[in-house]
Amino acid sequence: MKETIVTIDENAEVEIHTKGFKGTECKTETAALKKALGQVVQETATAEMNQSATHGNRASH
Amino acid sequence: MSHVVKVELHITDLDALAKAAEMLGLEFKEGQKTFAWFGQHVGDYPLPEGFKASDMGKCDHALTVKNNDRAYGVGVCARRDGKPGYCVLFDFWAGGNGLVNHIGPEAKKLKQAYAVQVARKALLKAGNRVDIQQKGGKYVLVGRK
Repeated sequence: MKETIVTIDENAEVEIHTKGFKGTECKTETAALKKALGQVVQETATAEMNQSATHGNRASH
Repeated sequence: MSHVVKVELHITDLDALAKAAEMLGLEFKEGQKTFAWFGQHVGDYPLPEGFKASDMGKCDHALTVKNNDRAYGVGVCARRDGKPGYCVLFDFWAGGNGLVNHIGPEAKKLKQAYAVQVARKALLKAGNRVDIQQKGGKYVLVGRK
C-alpha cells in the first residue's frame, strides 16, 4: 500500500510524508501536489528513498 | 517513509478557496471589487508587501461572512511581491465584527482550510482514496493507492 500523508497544522504549515514508495517514485508521485500547494522550502529523503539507489549500485557490481 | 517535504503555501486556486470559505461559514464573491472594513488604517499593523493603506477595501475578489451583515470582509488580491497567486487583506479591529472567529488570527484558519481543499483535490486527481481527519487543531489527509 502506497500512502501520501499531508499534515496541515494550525499555522497552515504543510508537511508531506510518503510511505511505500521506492527510490524516487515518491518525488514523482508528489510533484503535482507540491506544485498545487505552493513552494517547497525543505525536502528530506528518507532511508526508504535511498534504499533502491543502494540496491542499484550493488547490481552494477 | 520515502521523503518529507515542507511547503510554503501560495493561494492560487480560487475554486479551492471558495470551498475553503464554505468550510468556514464564508461566501466567495467572485469579481467583487470591494470588501467591508473599518474604513481607516491608522498604521498599527503591517500590510502585505506592495500594498498601502489606500489599498484597503479594494480587491479582486472577496469573502463575506454568511448571516452576519456587520462582519468585515476579506479582500482576495493578486500578490505584488513577485510570488504567484493571491494574498488576503482584512481588518481585524474588534475581531472584524465576527470575521476573525471564522478565519482565525492572521487568517490561519482560512489558509489551513485552503490547503486542505488543494491537497484533497490533488490527491484525488492522482488516483488516491482520500481520508481526512482532524487531530487537535491539525488536519491530516491520507491518500492511499
